[in-house]
Amino acid sequence: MIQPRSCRGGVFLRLPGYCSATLSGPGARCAIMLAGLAMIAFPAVPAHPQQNSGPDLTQSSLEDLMNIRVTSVSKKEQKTSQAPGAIFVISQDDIRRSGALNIPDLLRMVPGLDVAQIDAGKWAVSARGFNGQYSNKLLVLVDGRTVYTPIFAGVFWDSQIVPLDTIERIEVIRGPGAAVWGSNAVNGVINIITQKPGDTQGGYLSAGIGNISTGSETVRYGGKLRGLGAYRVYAEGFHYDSLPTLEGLDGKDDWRLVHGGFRADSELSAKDSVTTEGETYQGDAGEMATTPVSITPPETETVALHDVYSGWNLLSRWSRTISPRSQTSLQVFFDRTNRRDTTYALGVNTFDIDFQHHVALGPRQDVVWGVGYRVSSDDTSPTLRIVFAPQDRNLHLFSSFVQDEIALRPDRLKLSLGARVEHNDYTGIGFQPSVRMVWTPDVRNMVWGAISSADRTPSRSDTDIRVNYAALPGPGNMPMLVSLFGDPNFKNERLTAFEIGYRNAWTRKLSVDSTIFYNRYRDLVSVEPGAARIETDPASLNLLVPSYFRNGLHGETHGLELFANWKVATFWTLSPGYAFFSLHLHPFAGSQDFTDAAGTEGSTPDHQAQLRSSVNLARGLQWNASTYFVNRLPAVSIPSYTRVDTSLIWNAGERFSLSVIGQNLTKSLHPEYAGPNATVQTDLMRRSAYAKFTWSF
Amino acid sequence: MEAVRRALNLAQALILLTVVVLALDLLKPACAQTATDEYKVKAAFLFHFAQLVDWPSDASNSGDQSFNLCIFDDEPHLQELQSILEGKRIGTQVVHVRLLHQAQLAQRCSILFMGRDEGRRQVAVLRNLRGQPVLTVGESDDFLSEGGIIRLHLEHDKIRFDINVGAADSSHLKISSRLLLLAKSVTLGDQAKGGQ
Repeated sequence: MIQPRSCRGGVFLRLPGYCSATLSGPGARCAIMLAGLAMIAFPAVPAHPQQNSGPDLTQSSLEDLMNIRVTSVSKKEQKTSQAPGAIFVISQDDIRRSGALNIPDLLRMVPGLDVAQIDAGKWAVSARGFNGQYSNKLLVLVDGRTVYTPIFAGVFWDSQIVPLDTIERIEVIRGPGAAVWGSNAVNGVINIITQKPGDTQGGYLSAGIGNISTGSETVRYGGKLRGLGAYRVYAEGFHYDSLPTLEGLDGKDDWRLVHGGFRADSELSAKDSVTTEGETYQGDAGEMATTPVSITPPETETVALHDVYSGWNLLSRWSRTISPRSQTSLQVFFDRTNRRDTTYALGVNTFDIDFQHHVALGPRQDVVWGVGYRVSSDDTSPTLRIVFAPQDRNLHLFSSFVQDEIALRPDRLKLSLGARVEHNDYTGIGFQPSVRMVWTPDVRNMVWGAISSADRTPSRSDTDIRVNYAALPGPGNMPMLVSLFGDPNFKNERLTAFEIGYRNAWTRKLSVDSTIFYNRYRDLVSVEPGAARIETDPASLNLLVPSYFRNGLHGETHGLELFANWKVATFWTLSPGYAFFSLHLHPFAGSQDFTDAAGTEGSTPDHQAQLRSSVNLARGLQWNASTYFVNRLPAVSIPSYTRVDTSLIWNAGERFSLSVIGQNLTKSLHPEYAGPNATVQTDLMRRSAYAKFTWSF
Repeated sequence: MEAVRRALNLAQALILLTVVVLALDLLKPACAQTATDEYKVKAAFLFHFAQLVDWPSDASNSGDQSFNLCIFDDEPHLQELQSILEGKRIGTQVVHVRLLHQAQLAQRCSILFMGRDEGRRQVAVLRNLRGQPVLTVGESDDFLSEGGIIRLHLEHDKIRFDINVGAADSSHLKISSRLLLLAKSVTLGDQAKGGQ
């Protein structure tokens, strides 16, 4: 039997005999290889690529058509577009068109997300305020594996990068999602979901070169698992050149990463499927930081550091469909992370097991519940700058959650009640409930509202850390250390959030999504001054000027997020977006916070606006352009800036594509982010150009 | 120099990997099945439906040279459907994909395709077409219960279809037994529900 579409590309059309499974002898393979090589040398461009790509499906029988596996994204997008929350989905098509070279760059397109680059390989990414190099109120997951580090409470964006070409979609939820996703999903959740191996069959090669991303190569291969399913393996390597410092000197922040991994999906039976995936990476990044280099004699300098990191992880998920109304999944993952430079050194093992059950109760209730356990055990080494006490620690997290979606009036009014109960070693039992209501008077309009509570739980850097910021000559030439200490009794930072959203799609050519929110935070971190005293360690005798983390602040934020998608014509889409944000922090009685309130208030822009345009030109050409306006950050002296990125993509048939990408086109040499919540020196963004070639075979 | 050496090492590793991948490519069956765009396959289904359904001889466009297959102009997958179907021959007729504006009615269509996200428009359109010789093909869960004739859906990434024979009968369409045999489910339809 002929499998329609079993071979891709025009060449095979003329060789129908070779497409049958029985005729796939060595001769056929040879012919196909030669044909493939011929196509590299002479990439033939069909006059109408859309019509000539692939065999004529209408000539296949219905029975054959019923056996074709199809790729479908719209089904899932449909679900998220009806979700009662501030959700934005970046699809594989958006990724390809955007010309973004890394995940943070890609996230700029999400209205309401604040993405600011610090140096060549470090970013501050947050939703709804509190941005920093380690944004501790944003949870990030890759295929269900959390990449939020329990040491620094944030995400190492330079190591958690899946190759962009294997991502199916990124779901970004602004606002609290703790009831379902867990603690630390306070201001947002980012779910990075990779493609199913069945959708990445065959070979794929991409190579790019530019003036900042000086080289990037991806190799991927996907195959079948003898009637059991499909797999893929991939490897990627890239290098980014260093950026200039504010003074125009070399920022010494060039970085590189080599990583590789696999994913295998197998269907054990009609009811059971298992996904197994793993990744390993190794990278190093330069950075500049001001740090004590010696205590006796006291010396503090801005030095070039070399951050070396590596790690691996393995995840397996077993999903079982008991009936169309009842599904379970059991997921286990292990993650090892190593990082060090001269100022810090750590390793973390994380083991996590998670069970979920999704069941429809009666005609109107849809329940998801789950239980989980996580243990993270770390080992740190003291440096002149950072010391953890105790050096090594095991942390256990027990969690359980339930969410019940009740159709009060089918297809019109839904109520969703969720709650999570967690136990962690620092703060004991925590309860994070949420109530959501969604009203869909018709398919074109949707109004939703939510009241939720979410906790940011303590991390090692809140409780057990000592940071020596500076070593200076003190009175009588005694060395003096300026240091910050964690608080062993640090409490959860707690949010109560009120959100209202409205989505409107009068026609499928124009849709508008708007959200307003009001957030109240309690027990936010403050930095309190302490009394100076004499220490006998780390130097034999030194003066210590300490300050301490405490939960001394409370505050409110409010804001507006607007987004529209307008299909101006069949070939042209415009997507404007706007976000307004305001944050006010106040000290509790007794708090003498002297740094954190002002710095945090002024480190998120109050106004952000963007306009993206995507045009399909003739002959497989696509042109995309994005403009981002970000208002100034007064607390950290970052002026406002407008960033323009563009890409021109030529799809030569289904196998080859060539992209030319320009970033920061209007304004070269501007900073995007600076401390206080960054540990490294700020560098300047440069105008950049990049060219990329991809080949599927 | 260090940078150059590292770059060379990386390049070497990648070339080696490429060779391995190409070698793997030689080992795989020449025609591994790859996933195909959902709506291109659905377009082929529509083409087969056109051949396996008989329209009454007095249908409005039965004598025409062109076979009108209608899709609303805001259908997100319009381009895939159009690229496969436009200009195909069904007997003596040539398939012409007609784009409908929202308010326009679909009376002169032989087939009307409606996507997943139709909502209220679907109810109105199906009510208006009740009894008319138009083969309605849709995707939403309630397509058949609202009076549609064939519903396409996915099952483990493969396309399946259900047929509402009651609705076909009242539209005077004769569906071939071959199509009925291949259908995942055949319902006699609730005549009352789609009407009035």
